[in-house]
Amino acid sequence: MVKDASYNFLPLTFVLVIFAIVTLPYSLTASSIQFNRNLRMGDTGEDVKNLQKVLNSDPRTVVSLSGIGSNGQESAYFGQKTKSAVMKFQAIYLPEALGVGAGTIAPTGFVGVLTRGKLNSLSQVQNVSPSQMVANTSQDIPTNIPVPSQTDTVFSVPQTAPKTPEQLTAISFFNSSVYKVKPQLINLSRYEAKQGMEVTINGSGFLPKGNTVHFGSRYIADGFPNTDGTTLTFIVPGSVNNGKYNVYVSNANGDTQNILVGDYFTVTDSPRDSPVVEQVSLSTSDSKMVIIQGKNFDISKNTIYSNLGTVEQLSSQDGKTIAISLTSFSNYKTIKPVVGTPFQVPMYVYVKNDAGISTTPTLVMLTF
Amino acid sequence: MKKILATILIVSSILFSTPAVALAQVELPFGGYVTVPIFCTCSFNWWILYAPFYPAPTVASLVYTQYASIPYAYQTSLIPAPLPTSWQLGKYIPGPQTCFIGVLPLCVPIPSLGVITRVGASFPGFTP
Repeated sequence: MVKDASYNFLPLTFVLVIFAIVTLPYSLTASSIQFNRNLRMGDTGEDVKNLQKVLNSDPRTVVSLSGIGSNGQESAYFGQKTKSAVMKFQAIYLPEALGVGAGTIAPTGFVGVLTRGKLNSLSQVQNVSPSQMVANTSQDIPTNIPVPSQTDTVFSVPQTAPKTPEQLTAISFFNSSVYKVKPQLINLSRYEAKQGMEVTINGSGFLPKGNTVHFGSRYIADGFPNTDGTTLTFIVPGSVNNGKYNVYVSNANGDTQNILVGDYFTVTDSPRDSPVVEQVSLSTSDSKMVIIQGKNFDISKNTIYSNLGTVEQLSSQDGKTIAISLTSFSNYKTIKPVVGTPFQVPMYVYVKNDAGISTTPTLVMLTF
Repeated sequence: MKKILATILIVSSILFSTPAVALAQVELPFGGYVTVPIFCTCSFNWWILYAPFYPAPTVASLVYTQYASIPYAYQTSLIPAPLPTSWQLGKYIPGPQTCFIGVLPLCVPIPSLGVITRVGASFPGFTP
């Protein structure tokens, strides 16, 4: 009789076990952490402990690697280690919030309105546990920038595509809307276009609505952002006259106008496509001569961007080949190898001209 | 009763025996000789080429960002830029790419192995 009764409850028990297991992670992550007061060194409280938990969830901002303050041993006291971790957090996130470069602000270690806002918004918008927030941040890698091919097994080409500083921070529309993140423009998909053409702007801080693309002070177009506000697509209006313009973006949080940039975007009936680099190699006759092959190069005004320096006013007679000596790159001369140890240096090459810039870095290995 | 316990045991053993998946990236140790530090003109940080670089590969680049990277020893705030011809030991986070070169509104990324989180340096100029 007893056996029969227990057997009858078996399906129910099984369902309860499964339910408990399935809902356990959600019950742990549902309680999003809120920071409702400013925090500074010397403060104590449960929110300090929560602050350390959030900081410890990101390997870039851990409070301590071991002992008190480390992951699982967070304390309620805001000490020097917490302050240092907060400063790292601010160095990562505040440039985005303030719309400035990563090296242009000084973190304070004081958890004020802006820092609290970032901490809260990350928790609320993501609606996941802090560790998942970190995972999302680290995995939010754009796929539109291919990784260069590996040509030498000695040097490890990064396996992840380049990220913008903004993408590192899992930027969201929520942040842009609430904390007034000023829009920022990094580059455009093309720098020459005709009326009706689609152009994409890469940057950050673009809002869900109300982004206006300006062509100098005379023309405007609506901009349509992607889901995380890092790109903005617009159509060159038919009303825009041919000519050169300083294109910038404005929305409720500010604009990207920079008068020092000048007029760089050309509207023309016959726009050229951006340069494309297909291969970079060293000349077989001169090991210090770099040969860049591709298409859409300008006849006389190409600029090479590379990690070894920038060289301007380069010609390409056929529009497909550029030859340049390594000694023209300023950083080439500064390379200081360890004496007696031959090694290879990766050189990443972009070609830029008035029509645009090649979108992917092309790799060539230089032997020293 | 035995069946209930057996069922719970079996279900639990199946579900909880699944290996945990690490969601967060970790700092990795590194060491190397600063062959050339290059300033990233758009992102205002440094792309550093180490050769040799330990552990493997033997050559690699990392990004040093002031305030995000903690300097020790001869990399103090008085000398914020990474110095060539010095040996460095530190930790980095693999993956994130943060070096941008060029001039606005035209900035492009330079790939690297990751971002330095902390680093200490020898006095520059002492080469083997």
